[in-house]
Amino acid sequence: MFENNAQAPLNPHFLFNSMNAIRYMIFENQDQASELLSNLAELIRYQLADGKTKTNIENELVQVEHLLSLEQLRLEERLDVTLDINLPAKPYRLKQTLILPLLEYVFIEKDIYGVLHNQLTIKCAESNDQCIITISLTQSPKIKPGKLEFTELLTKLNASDVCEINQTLTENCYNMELIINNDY
Amino acid sequence: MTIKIIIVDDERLARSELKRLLSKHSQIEIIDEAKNAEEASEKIAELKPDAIFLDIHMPGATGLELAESLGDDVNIIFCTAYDQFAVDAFSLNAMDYLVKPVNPERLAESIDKLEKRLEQSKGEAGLPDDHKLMVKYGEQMRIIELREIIRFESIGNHAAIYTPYGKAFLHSSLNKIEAKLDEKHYFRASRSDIIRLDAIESMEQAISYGLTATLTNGQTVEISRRQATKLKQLLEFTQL
Repeated sequence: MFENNAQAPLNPHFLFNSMNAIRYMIFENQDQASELLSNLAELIRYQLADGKTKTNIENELVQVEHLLSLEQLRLEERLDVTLDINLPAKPYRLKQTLILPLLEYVFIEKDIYGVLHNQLTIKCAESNDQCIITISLTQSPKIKPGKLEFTELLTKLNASDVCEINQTLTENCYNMELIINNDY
Repeated sequence: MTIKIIIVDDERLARSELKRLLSKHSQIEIIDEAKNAEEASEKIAELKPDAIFLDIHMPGATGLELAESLGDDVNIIFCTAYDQFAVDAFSLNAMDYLVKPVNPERLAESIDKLEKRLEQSKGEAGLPDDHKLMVKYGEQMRIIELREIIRFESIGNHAAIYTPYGKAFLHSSLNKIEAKLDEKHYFRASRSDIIRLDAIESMEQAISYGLTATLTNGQTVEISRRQATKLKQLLEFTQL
């Protein structure tokens, strides 16, 4: 959904699917539909401000939760999410959004919509003046093979110099560790 | 007319939206729903709906793959979020396609079309015993009467027919043939066979708890357990 400047259009698939799902939800649970519509609106506002004002890890993780609430609306029992967040003492200011586009890239590349079940765990911890975000995705019946190519995306996000990404892959689980070294 | 429907979509909310829209059409009876192609396949075989509303992008086999495996045994109305799939949908002879979010007026049109198609196939049912058919035996064509066919056997997309002149093939599915036959004379023995009732010479209990019927031409045909029960009920003395 996020590109590296505020003028970039929203990912139309995400927007279309989220709006459809919210529309269906209106007939089931109006309060929940309203809350999800607010989450979508906040994501859009965040994207509109992207690149104009600095953000930080905490803001990013709030938006990650909004994104996940909308993905879970569609996928329901096919997407289980565990968040293990220990916010760092340092704010780790970011020039622009970073975690959200990386997460969305993982979702698309690992095709979370095309499998029967996804177990997603997102961890945030601080260690040795680094903020470490871990994204673990377990899929069944099996995970789409291969590590992901992040070079182009990190360049687009102007983040190549301030963070590094480590990836491990087992038969059913993809693991990505994003290490953010400094403010940028 | 009641139209029996199964909704196939991996998203529960999308299924419930379609159910809501279909509830405004009293002739529609939603007999079940399925969240993937595999589940749908089993339910379609078991419940024999008149039509299915089928999503295209689902985990595992896609809606298009499911449609291909079903052939023309069931009317399919594709429900797709993206227009580009529509071309494929029509190349498979789908009855119709709807774009999500489904427009109620467009849905009504589609149901109209479905109703007409079902009425048409109903009107064609129950061909008389002396109905003439032109059938190809090897290089020769022969005109036969329907009564001369003692068995229809499903073979791929075709049906083999057994007559006093030998075996021949019809380019049609067993379900379509069954819809045109008079049930006083023909009986669906299993998913793969329809037999003529007065061509049954004898029957015996099969190991599978069904029946094995021996026909006048000496062939034996398995009658599934479920259909055997139906046949026994059909031929009970109390029916007289």
